[in-house]
Parts: sequence; structure tokens; C-alpha cells
Amino acid sequence: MDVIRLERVEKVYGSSGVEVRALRGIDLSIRRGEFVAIRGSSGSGKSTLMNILGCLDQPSTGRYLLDGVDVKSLNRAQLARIRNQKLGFVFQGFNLLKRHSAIENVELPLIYRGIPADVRRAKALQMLEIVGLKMRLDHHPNQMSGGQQQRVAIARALINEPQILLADEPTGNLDSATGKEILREFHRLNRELGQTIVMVTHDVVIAEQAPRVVTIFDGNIRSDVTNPGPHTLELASGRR
Amino acid sequence: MGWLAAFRLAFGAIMVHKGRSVLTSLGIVIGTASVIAMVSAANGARKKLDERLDNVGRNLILIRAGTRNANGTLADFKPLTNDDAGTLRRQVKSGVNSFAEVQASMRVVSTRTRHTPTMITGTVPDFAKVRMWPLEHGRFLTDEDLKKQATVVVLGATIRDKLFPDLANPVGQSIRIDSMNLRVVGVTTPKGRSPIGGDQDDQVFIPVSTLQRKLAGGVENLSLILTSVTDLTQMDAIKKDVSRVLREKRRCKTQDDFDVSSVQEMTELAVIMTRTMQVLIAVIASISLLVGGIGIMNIMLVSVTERTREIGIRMAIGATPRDVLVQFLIEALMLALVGGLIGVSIGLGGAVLMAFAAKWPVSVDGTMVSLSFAVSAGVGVFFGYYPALKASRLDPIDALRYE
Ligand SMILES: Nc1ncnc2c1ncn2[C@@H]1O[C@H](COP(=O)(O)OP(=O)(O)OP(=O)(O)O)[C@@H](O)[C@H]1O
Ligand SMILES: [Mg+2]
Repeated sequence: MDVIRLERVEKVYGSSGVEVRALRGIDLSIRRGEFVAIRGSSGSGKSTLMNILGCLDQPSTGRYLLDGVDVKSLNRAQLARIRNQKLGFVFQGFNLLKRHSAIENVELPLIYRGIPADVRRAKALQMLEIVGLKMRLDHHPNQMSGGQQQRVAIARALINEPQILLADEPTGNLDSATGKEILREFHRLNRELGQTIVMVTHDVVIAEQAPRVVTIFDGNIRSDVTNPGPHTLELASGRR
Repeated sequence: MGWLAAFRLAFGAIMVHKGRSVLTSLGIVIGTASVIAMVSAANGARKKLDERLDNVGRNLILIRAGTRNANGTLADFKPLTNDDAGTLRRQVKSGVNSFAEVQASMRVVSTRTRHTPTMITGTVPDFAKVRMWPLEHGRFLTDEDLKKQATVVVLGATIRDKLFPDLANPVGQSIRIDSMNLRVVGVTTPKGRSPIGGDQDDQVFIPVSTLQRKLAGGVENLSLILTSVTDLTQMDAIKKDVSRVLREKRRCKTQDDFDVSSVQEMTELAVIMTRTMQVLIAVIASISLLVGGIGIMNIMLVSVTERTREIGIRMAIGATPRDVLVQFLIEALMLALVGGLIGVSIGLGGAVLMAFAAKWPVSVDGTMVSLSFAVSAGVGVFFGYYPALKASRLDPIDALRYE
């Protein structure tokens, strides 16, 4: 079954006169366990699409079925709960809370889920270990490198075991080496844990390493290519 | 989100801007501090007054000579006489503990080695009954003393201490007033200060006949006629009775040339003054709390704006509108409670200092302290609600994009 199903989704910004039609009828289905890269030029509507997928924004017209549920029928609190439990976000700008340490940032989704403190700690520790940051628990974002911050963000996005990991240019603020490291992480998560991932990138090389690449042009899907065969990419199989 | 987590979060946010938080809560600090200090002061003053009222006797009625002016003072004296007192004694019988003439005069009293100026109170045996004033040693004046214009004296406790510092019971000793020698026959128990502040034990009692004949040169001019009611609820009725009898006796036509007042009503003025003070305090407190509340609202609005991005992040990872609302409400609540805590401490300190300075009992009301906290909390929640609501209504996308 499709975890994500978009039917003729349009998004129009602004009021009459100065309307911007950012999405112009997107049909897209994503199955569980897929790794989808979304690419396209600047201003093509990638972030708009991601925000809708992440239940941060709603389509102007069309339907978005998440796990079979039309998100239009949900109120703000229910949407928050979905973001908390079904979705995990990784942003280009990391979006960590500056006043909180790495482990506190990772714990945050569990706090909003009402998980007791000791369980939170243990789980957050485990997540930080997975992303290889066990030594940086009490560091604050300004004491970490960009790559480390993004790993914290990934740990935070994954802590509630979301059905979908959404990443909007997760490597955009990182140098290419660090970016590759993060991407390797994504591939590993997808391969080893079957994590569904939707990732925006405008880097052609990065995009083409993904099993499925959706290209957006001017608010429309221009192409949707599933790379054939098993992914024996150098990146994906590389050392951790 | 759990409450513990929410409170910890709010505490952390407040600690980021310690100075700002304290300044913000200043209005609340002033409000609660002034309420605690002033209400404690008013209570202390009230207690002290009550105590003194009890010292004098709530049931006491004072009859003085003079016509009451338009401005409330007494003037135009036609002296009260022994005969006036006698008439009252004969005609007003029920509901009172008799009547007592009082003619007072300031003189120097001395033993062989000591001298002290004091009030010489010429009075009658019933005085002890009217004032319900027991003796510590010896006896009070008797009818016999009165009849014979006996040169006997009953000492107030303060005078006893001044004249006979080494002698608890000076009964049998003699003292001198002017050139007259008197024999000490009794000492009254200490009664403490009157509402006006005078030491009631700084006086000596002699028969009124002795005072009038032998000290005042035959002048019969009573300072007071005293009586006390047996039942406080009968106060007004007795006062009316007394006035009626005296009016008749002294043949007053248009206006009374005497004044009948109770100790209770004389202290009413003071009570009214404490009331006024309390109203004033309430006003000051309300204004500071209002100002404090607006301060909290202001800083919370600033805080919400400053932290728009943080709110966006929190919403993106699953904070519900209610979570955000509660987070900011708790912050406002804690700001107010910090103010309340500082205010209560300052107020209590002030109350204790004032009590020491004014020598009245420290009177701290536990319910008032808890009420102060409750009101502070209420102010925090009330004025914090709008900013918190604003925060909770932010759109996650707009908040995330906010710079
Ligand atoms: N809040 C908004 N109000 C009005 N127009 C908007 C808003 N957000 C995006 N747009 C417009 O919608 C279009 C798509 O924007 P979007 O951010 O989705 O592009 P993008 O593909 O993510 O670009 P980039 O690669 O530069 O991030 C753009 O033309 C943009 O100007
Ligand atoms: Mg974008």
C-alpha cells in the first residue's frame, strides 16, 4: 500500500492578482520502504511539495492521503500528532534548538509524545549512537560542526520511528565530503531498516544515486524514474 | 507533554534572561510587597489598638462638661458637679456598674527621697467597680475615706515603681502631694496604655472630697463622670438615658452643655482610618498588579516574537497548539510567581521592621501570603494568556520561515 498518495495537488500562494502557482497538479505515490529523491531547479516547487508531504502545509486543491487518511480532515492537534509520530524532518538549516544540548534536541519529539524521562534518555542515547554521535551528548548546536548538527537532526527525526523521513536539501549547508557522509547514512537507513525516505536535492549527482528520482519542473512532475537494478553505488556500499 | 517537562522547559527559558525576568516581575513584586507589608502593618496597628481598648474597657462611658461645637470639639464649659453625678447614680440604675466622679489634677508627688509629677485622680469607691480595676495590694478608697476627706492614697503601678522602686507593697508608707501627707492604703494592678497612648498606671487615686477641699481649694469641677455598661449591646440606650437625666438636671434647653461618649466610639475614628488605609493599599496593590501584569504580557509578546522560529521547530516535530499554549502560559505563570516570591519576602521583611519600629505585634497572616501567591499566579495566567494564545496559533510553516 502507498504511504503517500497525492492526487492532483495544487498549491497557490498569495491572494488574487499576485498569485503564485507553486504546484500545478501533482500526482505521486510512494510505497513503504522507498527512497525517493526529488530534484528540480530553484523555485520549481520542491519545498512547497515537501511542506505538504510533511503536513506543515495543506494543498490548495487536490487530495493528500497519508497512510490512507486524507489530511484535510485533520485538525491542528491531529496534524501535530502525525508530524510527531509518523513523520520525521530533516531541514537544510538543521533547525536544532540552540539552547538545548544534542541529547535534549533528540529527546524533544518524545517529550511531545509524553514519554517518561528515563525512557526518553535511553532512546535518545541509542539514536545518537546510531548516527555516531555518542561522544557529543551534551554539546550544544554551536559547539558542533554542520555535519554533526545534521546528524543530531537526523537522530531527532528518527527517534519516534516515523513511517517517512522527509529531508529538504539535507546536504545543502554542508561541504561535499560531509554531505556524502550524510547521504551514506540515508542509504544505510533505507537499506538496513527499510526506512522510507523522501529527499529533496538539486544536486544531480546525489539525486541519481537514489533508487527513484522524481523531477519537478515549474510545479509539475516532469519525470519519475526508477533506477533499474540493485543499487551497487559506490556511495551506498561505502564504509561507514 | 508532561507537567514536569513543561515546568522544566519554562524554567530554562526564564533563566536565559534572568535580569529581564526579574525586571518584568517588578510590578508584581511591588504589588505583593506593599500588600503584605501594609496589611500586616494595619493588622498590627489594629491589634495594638484593640489591646489598648481592652485595657481601658470597651464598656466605658465618659461624661464630660462642655458644648459640642460644629467642628466637633468641646467648648463653653459649665462644670460637672458632684450633684450631677449623684443624680445620675440615683436615676440611672439598671445596666450600669454605678457612676464615678473623677476630678484630676497634675501635681508632684514625693517620698522623702523621690519626686515625680503625676496625675492626681480624685474619685469615689465605685471607681474600681466602674473601671473593673482590681488591686494588687491593700484596698481601694472607701465611703468612710470619702466622708472624712481622709488623707489616703491608692497608687498606680507605675507610680509605685517610681516612688518605691525597692518596695513591691508600699501599703502603710506615706507620700506627699504639695504639703499634704497621705498614707498609702493600696496599689492597683497594672492596666497598661490607653488608646491615646497614655500610661494609665501613671496616676494616684485619692478621695474626690479630699482633692476638692484640700488640694483644689474647694473648687468642684469634675473632669469626668465615668460609668460602664454591663451589657455592650445596651450602650446606646444607656447613653440616651444618661443624656436625658443630665439634660433635665442641668436644665439644658436647646443644646446639651455636656458630652456623653463611649470609649468604643472614640476609637472608631482610628478604625475608620485603618479602613481607609486598607482601601488605599488595595488600590495601590491593584494598580501595581495591573502594571505588573501588563509588563508580563509585554515581555511574553516579545518572547513569542523572538522565539517564533523555536515555536516553528517545536510544531514541526509534534508540539500541538495546546503544548505551545501551555509552555508560554507556564512561563508567564513562573514570571509572576517569581515576582510574588520576591514581593512576599520583601513585604514580610518590611512588616517585621515596621512592627519593631512602631512596637506593635508582628502580625503576618498566612492566608494573606497564600492569597498573594494566588493573585500573582492569577495575574500571570491572565496576562500571559493572550501571548500564549498568539504563540499557539502560529502557522508552523510561517514560524519556521521566520528570521
Ligand atoms: N510563502 C510563499 N508565498 C508566496 N510564494 C511562495 C511562498 N513560498 C514559496 N513561494 C513561491 O513558490 C514557488 C516554489 O517555491 P519553493 O520554495 O517550493 O521552491 P524550491 O523548489 O524549494 O526552490 P529552491 O530550490 O530554491 O529551494 C517559488 O516561485 C516561490 O517564489
Ligand atoms: Mg526549497
